[in-house]
Amino acid sequence: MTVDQTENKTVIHIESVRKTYRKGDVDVTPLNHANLTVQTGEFLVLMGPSGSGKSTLLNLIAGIDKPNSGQVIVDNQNITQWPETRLTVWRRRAIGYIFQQFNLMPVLTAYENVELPLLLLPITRQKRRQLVGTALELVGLSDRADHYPRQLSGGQEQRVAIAQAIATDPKMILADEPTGALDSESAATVLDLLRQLNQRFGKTIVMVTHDHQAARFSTRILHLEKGRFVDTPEAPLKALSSVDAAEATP
Amino acid sequence: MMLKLVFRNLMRRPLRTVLTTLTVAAAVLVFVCLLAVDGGVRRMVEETGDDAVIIVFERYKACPPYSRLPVHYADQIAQIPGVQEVMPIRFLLSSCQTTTDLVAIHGIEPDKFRYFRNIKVSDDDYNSFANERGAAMVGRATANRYGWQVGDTVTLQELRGVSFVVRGIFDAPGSSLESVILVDRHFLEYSINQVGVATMFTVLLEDVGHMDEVSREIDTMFANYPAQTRSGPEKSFITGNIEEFMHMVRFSQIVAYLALVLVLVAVSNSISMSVRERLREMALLRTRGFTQGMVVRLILYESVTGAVTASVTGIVLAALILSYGQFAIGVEGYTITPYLSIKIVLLALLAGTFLGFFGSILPAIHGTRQPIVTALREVN
Repeated sequence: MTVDQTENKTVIHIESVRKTYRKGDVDVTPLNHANLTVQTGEFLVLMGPSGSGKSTLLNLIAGIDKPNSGQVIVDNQNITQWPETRLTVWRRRAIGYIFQQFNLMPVLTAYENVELPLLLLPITRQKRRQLVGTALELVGLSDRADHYPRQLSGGQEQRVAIAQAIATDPKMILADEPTGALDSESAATVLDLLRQLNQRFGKTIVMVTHDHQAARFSTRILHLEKGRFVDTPEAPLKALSSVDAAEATP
Repeated sequence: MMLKLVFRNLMRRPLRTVLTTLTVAAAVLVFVCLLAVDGGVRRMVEETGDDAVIIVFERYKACPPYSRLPVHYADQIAQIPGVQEVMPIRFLLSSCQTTTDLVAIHGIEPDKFRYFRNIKVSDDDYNSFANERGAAMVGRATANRYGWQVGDTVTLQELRGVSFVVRGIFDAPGSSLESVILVDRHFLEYSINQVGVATMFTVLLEDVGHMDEVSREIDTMFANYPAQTRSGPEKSFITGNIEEFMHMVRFSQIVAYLALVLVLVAVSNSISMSVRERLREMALLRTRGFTQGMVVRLILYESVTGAVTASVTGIVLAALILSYGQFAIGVEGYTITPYLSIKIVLLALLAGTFLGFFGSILPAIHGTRQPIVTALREVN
């Protein structure tokens, strides 16, 4: 995994984004002219009540959803109007997405799940094996490579999902309530992993969470309410930045 | 890796996969068997009929094998210019109806028979047969069906108690002759007390180009005789005689194709359910960088793999049934043995691929057209 050396470079720029969809007979507007800028290497936490637009924002950044208006610029590329196929191909290298419900393929082993996105890259089998090994080692699950998701605990499943998300060495990691379905111990492990990815490997992370404990690893917290950012409190983790990332246990 | 994914997805719901596979396999089995009957008919006509041979039956007989013509017609036919050889044949059949249990004896003239028919048998066996009154040459299919061997003495009570000794077993793949018992015509005539009566004549020509001309001349020659004749090229004659049966075969083929369409609906339904259950996984694959086309292809591979496997199962089962069942259908005195040709096997495989492809293409496209977010939200 490479370390992103770029500093203070805007990697995500959301400009006046509005997103509306229909739910039953009601028009829902999870994002209403929201603006956001994220710098390379940030660990941004998005908080807010359910339905405030946090996950929608992540989906827009990942290009798996499109805004009704506004611009989504990721890594200096305006992806707002890209067709689906272009977005899909772009996501392979650009985005690592972590879901609350892990979303692993139940019929594939941990190793195969991590290998899945690598199959789409023009790399040799040997290189692929090496990358899967590295990713599993990083999340501390080398010894569970042959296990199927049903044979893993929730925390282990989420760690495999993280390994899958980072295997392609994406520039940024988007995590949608990654600890939401985990017990506190597993949640701590997962958060520590994310912190490592941010601090040790310089990955830009945007994480949605309800958990204030989870937020303490961030470099910045933003609150969303009714589709708009309501405040930008001080990063709570200035103190943590001095912690040597190498000391963190995956 | 992708093959693993395809295989494991197939095995995800074993019961559903097995039931769908059995449905396709059963449809292909029926399809293959019906096509094999058609294949058998074509092969029989091809192998039994000879382009250079005219056959002569009694006119106005609904079932040609029941025709009765005086044997002495042969001498008059032989006088017609362009005729090289004439052989009267006497048939003795267990039934003239369409049956699966036809026993047919052909009384022939051993010294002429090989001019007209190509059978595979050793010269020694043939000579034993030709030189012994009461000897018979038995087609392989009949010998296998009844378990007869060289040296056996056989009495057929259902055929007027005709009794003979098996002196040889011959092969004539695909030909109706494979189900026939050949005996000396004179011997047969005396056995059934009908001397001088032939069922038909086979007429070998010097020049195939005179086929129609000679046929007309034969029929004109006996136009004023008590037993009038109907002559024609052997292949078209056979085809004409079994026409009704061919209509039935064609109709059953239409039913077989309709059965495939029904199975297509069943496959499509099964794939639809499978896709519906995996919308989230398909959305996940797209999130991880798989294009819509790639996800559609994955589902197609899955479906086609299953359908082709089922087709192979159906083909193998059909081959076993046709092979061990030793089915033979007697029609108007001709015996049709279902024939599983390479063409039919390929057609059945194509039908399986067709079922797999067209049964899954719509569900696959429908499943991947759903927006990723909707698919994730729906199940989450």
